[in-house]
Amino acid sequence: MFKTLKTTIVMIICISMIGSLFAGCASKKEPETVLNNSKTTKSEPLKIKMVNRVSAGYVLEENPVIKRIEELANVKLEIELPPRDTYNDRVNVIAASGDLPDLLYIFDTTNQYPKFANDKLLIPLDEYIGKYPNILANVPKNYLDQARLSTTGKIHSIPRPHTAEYFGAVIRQDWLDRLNLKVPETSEDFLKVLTAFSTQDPDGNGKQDTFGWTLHPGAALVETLLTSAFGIRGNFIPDKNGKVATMEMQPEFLEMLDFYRKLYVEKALDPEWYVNQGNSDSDKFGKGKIGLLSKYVRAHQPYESGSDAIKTAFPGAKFTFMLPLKNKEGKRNVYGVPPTWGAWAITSSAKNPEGIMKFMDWGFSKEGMELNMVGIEGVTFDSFDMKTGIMKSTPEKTKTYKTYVNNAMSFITAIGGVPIVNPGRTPEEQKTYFEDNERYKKEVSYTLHPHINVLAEAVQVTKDNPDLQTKMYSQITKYIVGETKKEDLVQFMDKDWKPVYKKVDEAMQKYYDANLKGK
Amino acid sequence: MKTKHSMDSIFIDIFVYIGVGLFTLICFLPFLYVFTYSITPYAEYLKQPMNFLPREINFEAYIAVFQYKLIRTGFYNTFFITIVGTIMHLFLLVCTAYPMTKDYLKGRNFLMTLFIITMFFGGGMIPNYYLIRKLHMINTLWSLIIPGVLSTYSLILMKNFINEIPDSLEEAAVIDGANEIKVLTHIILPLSVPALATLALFYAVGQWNSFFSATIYVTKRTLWPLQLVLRELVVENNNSMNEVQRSMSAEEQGAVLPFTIRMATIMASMLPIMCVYPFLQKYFMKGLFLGSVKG
Repeated sequence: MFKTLKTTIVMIICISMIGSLFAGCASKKEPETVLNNSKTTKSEPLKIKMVNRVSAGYVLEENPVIKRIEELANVKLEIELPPRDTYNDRVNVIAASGDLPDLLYIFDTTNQYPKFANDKLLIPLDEYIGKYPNILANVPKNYLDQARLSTTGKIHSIPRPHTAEYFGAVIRQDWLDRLNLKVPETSEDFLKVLTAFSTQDPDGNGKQDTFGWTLHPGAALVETLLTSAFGIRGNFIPDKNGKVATMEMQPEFLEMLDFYRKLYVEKALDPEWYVNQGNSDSDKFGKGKIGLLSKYVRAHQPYESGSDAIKTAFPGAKFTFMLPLKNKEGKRNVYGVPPTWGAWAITSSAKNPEGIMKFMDWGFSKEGMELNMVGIEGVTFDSFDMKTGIMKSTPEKTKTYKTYVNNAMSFITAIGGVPIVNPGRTPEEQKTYFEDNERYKKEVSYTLHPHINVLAEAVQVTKDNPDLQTKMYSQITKYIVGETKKEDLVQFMDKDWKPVYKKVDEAMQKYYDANLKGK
Repeated sequence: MKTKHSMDSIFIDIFVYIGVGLFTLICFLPFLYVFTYSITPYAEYLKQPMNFLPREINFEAYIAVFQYKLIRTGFYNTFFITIVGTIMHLFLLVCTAYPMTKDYLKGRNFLMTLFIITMFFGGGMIPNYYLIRKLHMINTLWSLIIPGVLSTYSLILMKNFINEIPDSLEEAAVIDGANEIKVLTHIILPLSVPALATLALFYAVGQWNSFFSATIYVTKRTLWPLQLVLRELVVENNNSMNEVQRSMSAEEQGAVLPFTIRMATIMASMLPIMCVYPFLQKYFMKGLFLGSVKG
């Protein structure tokens, strides 16, 4: 009996071994996620895992717009929406843990994007972009060049084209009317008006409790209003002799700082400006403490959040949008990088980059744009005209719109800087926005230039001198409030700043001469 | 001499009362301010931003807050992790602390050393993430409960508290035929109520306020705890306004809620935990000196 048992066991082992040999020769099962165009009439939906940064009010569950996107694009989306405030932390954890999605929205294009690309977490897209007509049609070359890394020479993401936010200011027209002043056009007018707001009781309450303007410390000191007034050029923008320079290296920069100092001395500035954070300026403007708020074109319109409340709190409050100040030649020149809002990248974990590019291309199509930006007709809106950007909907549909549609879910929010959907609660407000934008474009020369990070030298300088910019703004702040003298500021710039940024200027000149001169 | 002494104590009393009164005001006024502006219309806030009593009352801010679906799911999730977490915490605390008080438990000192090491050293965010992922707890509320369910600090306090209970009580119970479980449930636990209440309150408040773990371990928004939802709604992005961010700033700015809605959000998240506190206050005062005074 024992002999029989032994034989049986040996037979079973032998059969198992032979069976495993055949199993190894079996054909590989095709992954479900391959978008197969061959024999079947409707292919399996492509499964895409994506991570995006969207505000808290947006609801993903039972979202009819997402369902429609999946039907039309033949995809199955697995979407993760981390908290906005800690989005970069979450993306860092995802990157470090290797749990990469297929499609990743990069918010921090300055630091995370080059880091991830250099670590080979994001695939280069150069070989794919040329095949997709909608992407090519709606993402201009200068936008794509912004995503080209100086270290790899390749494009690792598709920037999300965004609205060109035309910066200017909002001013209290009722204060101007009470003091018989006009909207300032030059720096002299500007000083006069702001000083009047601070000293002549523009709100008529009998108290000297208002100021002309408030600022934000740091990079926000570079106000479009004043860079225009002092003729400060953007990066890669040449002077009359064909020379380019970063802002701080231009002689007009110190002139502008002198003007800030003058504003402070004349009490035109809120004395607490250097502790402002977040939306302190909007808050002070809303409370009627300052008469001018640096903002983009739509801020003064009633549809801006809180504006209705301002008019209730201060009946008679009127707002006018103020264009950037004129320079000595009477012109308004404003410079900016191609307006983008983050970028979309395909990670190295993606099994089907072509399929994901196809999905993105669909997102850049008219159908994709409309669905992502306005949703479903009859559900989230009543009518939408893409040419004018005006959307009409009932209050109920507006509520549904706010729940199930968010422009952060779109691959593109503006075409050529013009928003696909005009901001505004009603068609009339949207029309006003459109007209204001047109006025801005007519009266202000708005020139785009490449982002400084196209220069490897600029990236390296920032890496090698992480505190230099903070020190610079600290010096500027101290000079404006009178804590240091101009000589100290000039000494800092000559000793610490210029020797470092000279390399950047030289690299910028070379880049300009090779790529932009004469264009 | 006697009169001078009482005059001195009167002066001291006055100073103490003034000091305590000021401290109370410092603690209470911000709360009052938040409450006032949570029931004040936004326009009224703009007119009068520094009132401590509301001039006009309406609840539109609360209505706006509770329209956010995430607020409702946030409440549910936070209640769950607080209640379940606290129960588990107390259970594990008692089951761990009580045996550690027994001299005859082999390896007791070694175990205690291991526990204490965890107070000073940790794996860090990424290794913890790997661990939670391996345990298939990503995207579950358990990832917000289990990792920190037993605090070494609480364990040490509880152990010290149980050590203070006279051995004679236990011995008497044993003589009467009680086993270890009966001693624990009938002698130790009833006498440990102040300590348990205090530690429960500390833990519950910690769980109620926690949010960071959720940003790492939870990807579904419907599983966000309340504090994370609050943070999303209330905390402004501090716009550094560099060149690239200026172009985004319109979208970022548009996401900031009016001040009064933010105040209402804060009140809505604070109220439940504040309602629990009065019931535990008497234990809290006793428990403040946990393990600090012998005899």
